[in-house]
Amino acid sequence: MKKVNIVLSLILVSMFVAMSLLVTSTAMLQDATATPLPTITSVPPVQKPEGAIEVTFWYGLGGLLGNVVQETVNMYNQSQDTYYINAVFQSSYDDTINKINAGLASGDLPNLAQVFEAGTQRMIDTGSITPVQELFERDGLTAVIEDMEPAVRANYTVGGTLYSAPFNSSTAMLYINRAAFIEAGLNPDEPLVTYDDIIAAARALTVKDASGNTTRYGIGLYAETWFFEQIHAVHDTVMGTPANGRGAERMSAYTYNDPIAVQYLEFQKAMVDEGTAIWYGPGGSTPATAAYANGEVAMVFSSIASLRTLVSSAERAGMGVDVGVLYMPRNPDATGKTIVGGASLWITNVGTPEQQEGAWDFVKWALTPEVQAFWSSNTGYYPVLQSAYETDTMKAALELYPQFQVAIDQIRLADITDANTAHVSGTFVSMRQDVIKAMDDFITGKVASAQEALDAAVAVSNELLEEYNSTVSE
Amino acid sequence: MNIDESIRTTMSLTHTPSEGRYEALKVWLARPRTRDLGRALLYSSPALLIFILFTYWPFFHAIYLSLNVTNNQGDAARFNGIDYYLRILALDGSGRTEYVESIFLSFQFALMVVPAAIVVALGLALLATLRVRYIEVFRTIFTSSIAISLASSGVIWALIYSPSTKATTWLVELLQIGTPSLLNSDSTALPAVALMTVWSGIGFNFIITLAGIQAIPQDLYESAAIDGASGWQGFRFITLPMLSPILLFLVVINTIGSLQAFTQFQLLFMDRAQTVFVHQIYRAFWNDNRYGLAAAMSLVLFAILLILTIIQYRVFDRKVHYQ
Amino acid sequence: MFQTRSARLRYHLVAYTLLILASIILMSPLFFALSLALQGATAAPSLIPTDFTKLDWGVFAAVFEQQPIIARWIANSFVQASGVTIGVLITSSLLAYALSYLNFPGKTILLFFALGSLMIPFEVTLIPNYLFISRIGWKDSYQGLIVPFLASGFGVFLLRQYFMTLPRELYDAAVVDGCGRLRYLWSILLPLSRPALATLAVYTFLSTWNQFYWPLLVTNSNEWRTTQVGITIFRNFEYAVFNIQMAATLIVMLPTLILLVLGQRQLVRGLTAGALKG
Repeated sequence: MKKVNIVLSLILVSMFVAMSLLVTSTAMLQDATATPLPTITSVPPVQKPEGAIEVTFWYGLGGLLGNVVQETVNMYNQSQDTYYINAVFQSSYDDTINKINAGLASGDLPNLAQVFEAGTQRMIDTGSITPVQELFERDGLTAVIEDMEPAVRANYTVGGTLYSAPFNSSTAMLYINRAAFIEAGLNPDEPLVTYDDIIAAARALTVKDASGNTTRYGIGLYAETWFFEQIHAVHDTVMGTPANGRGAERMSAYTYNDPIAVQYLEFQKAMVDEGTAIWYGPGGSTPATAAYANGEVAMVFSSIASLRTLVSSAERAGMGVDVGVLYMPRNPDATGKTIVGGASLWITNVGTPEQQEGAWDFVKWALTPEVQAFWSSNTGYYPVLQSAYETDTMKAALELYPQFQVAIDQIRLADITDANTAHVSGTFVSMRQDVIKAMDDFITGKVASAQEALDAAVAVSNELLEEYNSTVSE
Repeated sequence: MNIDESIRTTMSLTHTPSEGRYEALKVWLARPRTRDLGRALLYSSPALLIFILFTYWPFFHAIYLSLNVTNNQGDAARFNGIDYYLRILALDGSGRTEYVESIFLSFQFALMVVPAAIVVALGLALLATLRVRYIEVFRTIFTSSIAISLASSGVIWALIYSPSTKATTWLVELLQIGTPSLLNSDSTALPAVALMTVWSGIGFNFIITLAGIQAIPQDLYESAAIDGASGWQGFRFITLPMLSPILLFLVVINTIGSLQAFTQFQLLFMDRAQTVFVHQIYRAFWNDNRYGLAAAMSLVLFAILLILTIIQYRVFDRKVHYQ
Repeated sequence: MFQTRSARLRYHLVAYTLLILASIILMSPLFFALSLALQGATAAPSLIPTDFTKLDWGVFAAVFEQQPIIARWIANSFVQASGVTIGVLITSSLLAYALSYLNFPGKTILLFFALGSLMIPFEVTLIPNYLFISRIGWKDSYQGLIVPFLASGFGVFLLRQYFMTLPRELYDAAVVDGCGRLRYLWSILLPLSRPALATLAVYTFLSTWNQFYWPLLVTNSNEWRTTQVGITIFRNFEYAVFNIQMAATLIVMLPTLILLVLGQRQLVRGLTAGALKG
C-alpha cells in the first residue's frame, strides 16, 4: 500500500510541478515609497433623520471611486433633512442593469440608478423612467443644461431629449512614456497625430536586448471596442444607422464595417506584425496598463480616468516612467472628436411622488459647480458642468494633473454631431463583444482580412439588433 | 410479484369487473412494493416539494420561454417555434456554428478536468492516509481549496496568468505560443482554465475520496497481506473496487460540474469570443437579455447532461461494487 | 510495521517531503493573493514582494474601515449557510434512504428527478424564483435566502451512493427485529454515515457561503447582503488595482477556513471510527 501511495503521489506531484515553479519564478523590482493614490476626503455617513423621505439609489461603481460616490451621497444627506438617499451598491454596472431588468417584472426598482452609457437605449425602453429634461424644464433650470459640457450632455441626449443626468464621464487617450521618447530621440512635446506618426514612433521606441528579445515594445494594444467607437467619432463616422441611433428613430442596423474601421484594424496589425506592438487580446487592459507603468511598453490607449493610478503606479514601479497624454490618432482630414463614456443617473417613475422628488432633488444638488468640482477632483472624471472649472478645487486639481487639460481639449475639438457622439442601441453590450472578436481574429491572423472579420461581426450584431427591436413595443 | 399473487390477481379479474378491480387494488396496496412506495413518497416529500417549486416549475416555464422571443421583462413577445433550437444546433442553414463549437469546447474542457481532478484527488487521498504524525494538518491543507469560492480563485488565477505579474511568463516562453499570456492563445487558454478548475475542486474531490478510502475495512488489506498481495494489488483489487461507488459519484458530479462551469470563464476568458457553452448561456441571459435563447440553450444542455448521466449510470452502476 | 529503523526513517522522509511539497503547491495561489494584498495600491504588482520591510499590513484594517458592515455580511452568510445545510441534511437523508433501502416502482426515475436538478443551469430558475420570492414578500429575509436551497440533488446522490456501500444485512436484521424504518435511519444509518454527512455539510455550507447571483437579486439593502455580494464593492473600476479586493477576499475566506479546520476534526473522527467492521 505504502509504495502505491508514494507512486501515485509522485504522479500528482509531477502534475503540479508547474505550479511550484510558478512560485520560484522571478519577481520584478519595485519601490513602495511612491505617493499613494489621490487622497479621498472622508465624509462619514449620517443617520437617517426622523421623518425624512427615503430615496433608494442603486449604483455600480465600486472600489475607490465607489467610496467617492458614497461620500457624495453622505454630503447630500448632511446638507438637508427632507430626503435621505439610501445608496445601495449593486456589484457592477452590468449587475446594476441586470437587476433593474429583473426588477421590471416584479416592480422592484430603485428611485434613482447609476447606469453605464451602454444601457441608455435599454433604460429608455423600460418605460419606467422620467427623462430629466422634463424636470429641468418644469423647474425652469434649463440654464444648468446649457452649462453642461457639450460632449457630455450630447451623450445622454436622444431624439433631442436629455434622458439622464450625466454623472461620471471620461474619454480615451493615448498615454506615452515621455522619458522613453526622450531616450529614443523623439520629442515628447511634439504630438503624434496620425497612424503613421504612431507607427514610426513605435518603431523608434522598441528596444531589443542582445539576444533579440524585445525588452520594450513601442505600444501595448488590446481588444477594446470603446477605442474602436472613439476612432469612428474622431472621423465623424456613424457606427450604425439612422444617425447613430440618436435621432427620433431607433438604430436599425450597424454599419461599422466601414473603411475607417478597416484602417484602424490594419494600423494595429501592422505594428503587431512588425514586432513594435504587443497584442494583449481581449480583456487585456490590466496587463497592458501594468506594462505601461512598468516601462515595458512606451505607449498605451486608456481612459483619462486611469490617469491618477497610472501616475502613482509608475512612481511606485520606479522604472522612471513619465506619464504624458495625447489625443487619439486621427487622419489629417478628420473632423470629429472623441466621445465620452461612463455612467449617468436615471430617475425612475416608481415609488411615491415624494420619493421621485427626492431623487430629482439629489440630481439637482449633484449638478452644482461645487459638487462637480468635489466629484471630479477626487475621481479623475470630467466635471459635468463647465462652470466647475472656475472653482478653486478644480484649478488645484488641474495644477496637480496638467495632463487632464489635454483630455478636456480633446472632447472640445469639434462641434457636436450625431456621428461624433457615442451611438445608442438596445444591443450595445453584445455589439462590443462582436467587435472584439473581429479585432482579435484579424490581429492574431485567424481571419485574413480586416474587412472580412468586420463583415462577419456586423452580420452577428445586426441579427441580434433586429431581434431586440422586434420585441420592443413603440 | 410472486406467482400466487399473480394468479390471485388474474383470478379476481375474472369476477365482476368492479369488485375485481377493488380486490386487485387491495392486493396491490397490500404488496410490499406498494407499501414501500407510500413510504418513499412520504420520505421524499420535503425534498420533492422544494424541487418541484424551485427547480421543476421554472424548468417547465423555460420550455415555454424557449419557444419565444422575450421582451425586456422576460415575457414572451413573439412566438418563435423551434428556431432557437435550430440556431443552437446549427440546423438553420445560416452556416454559423458558434454554439455547436461551444458545446464541443465544453466537452473538451470536461475531458481535461474530470480525469485530472479525480486522479489528483485519489493521489492526495492516498497521501493523506500515510501513517505519520500531524497528518490532520495536511488533510486540512488539502481540503482548504473547498473554502475558496470560484469567484475568489478566479480573480487570483486571472492575476497568476496575467503577464503583468510575470508568474507564468516562463511557461509562455517554454511553450513558445507567441502571446503574452496563456489565456491569449487558443491552444493554451482552455488547459489554463482547466488547471485552475482542478485546483479549485481539489478540496472537494479530496475529502470525498478520503472518506471513501477510510470507509474500506482495514481487515481486507490485512488478510490480503497475509495472502502475499503487493501494495499495488491491494490498491487494484481492494481500494479501487471498494471505492467504485464514490468514484462513480465523482465522475458524475465532476462531469456535470465542469459542463456547467462558467464563473471561471467569466473571469478568465472575459471578452474572448470562443468560449464554453454555459458561458454562452450566461452571455445570452445577462448581456443580451435573450431569455428565450438562454432557456433553449439551457434545455439543450440539460438534455446533454441527462443523456450523459444515464450512460454513465448504466455503464458504471452495474460494475460498481455495492455491499 | 517497519523492519529496520532506516526503513522507518526513509518512509517518514519520503512521506513528509511529498506532503509538504503538495501542500506548498496547493497553497501557493493563496500566498500569491496575500502578496498582492500587501503590496499597496499599484497597477503593477509583482509576484513576490521585493521589499518585505515595506509591506502594507494596514490593508486589512482598511477593509473594515471602508465597510464596517462586513461583519454583518459575514453573519448573514453564516445564518444562510447554516440554515441551508441543516435543511439539506434532513431532506437529502430522507430521500436517499428511500432510494437506497425501499423497493418501489419508479425508483430510478425518482433518483434522476433529484439528479436532474443539478443539470438545470441556474439561469433557468433564477428569474422565476426571484419573482416568486418577491411576490410572497421574502426579499431581504433569511427565508428568501434559505428556502429555495433546502433540497439538493447533490446531497441525495452523495448519500444514496454512501448508503449503498453499507452492509444491507444490517437493515434486514434491524427490520426483522422490529426496528422502525425511521428509527433505523436515525439511530443506525445516520451515525454510520457520519463521514458522508459531514462531507455533505461542509460542501453545502461552503457552496451556500459562496453564492452570488441569488443573494444579489433577493437582497435590496446593505444590511441584508451576504459576503460574496458585499465584497464586490472592493473591486476597482477604471483602476486595475487589486490590493484591497484581495485583502477582502482573504478576510471572508477566513471564517470558512476556520470552520473547515474545526469540521475537519469532526470528519476525521467520523472517518477513523472504523464503524464499518463486522
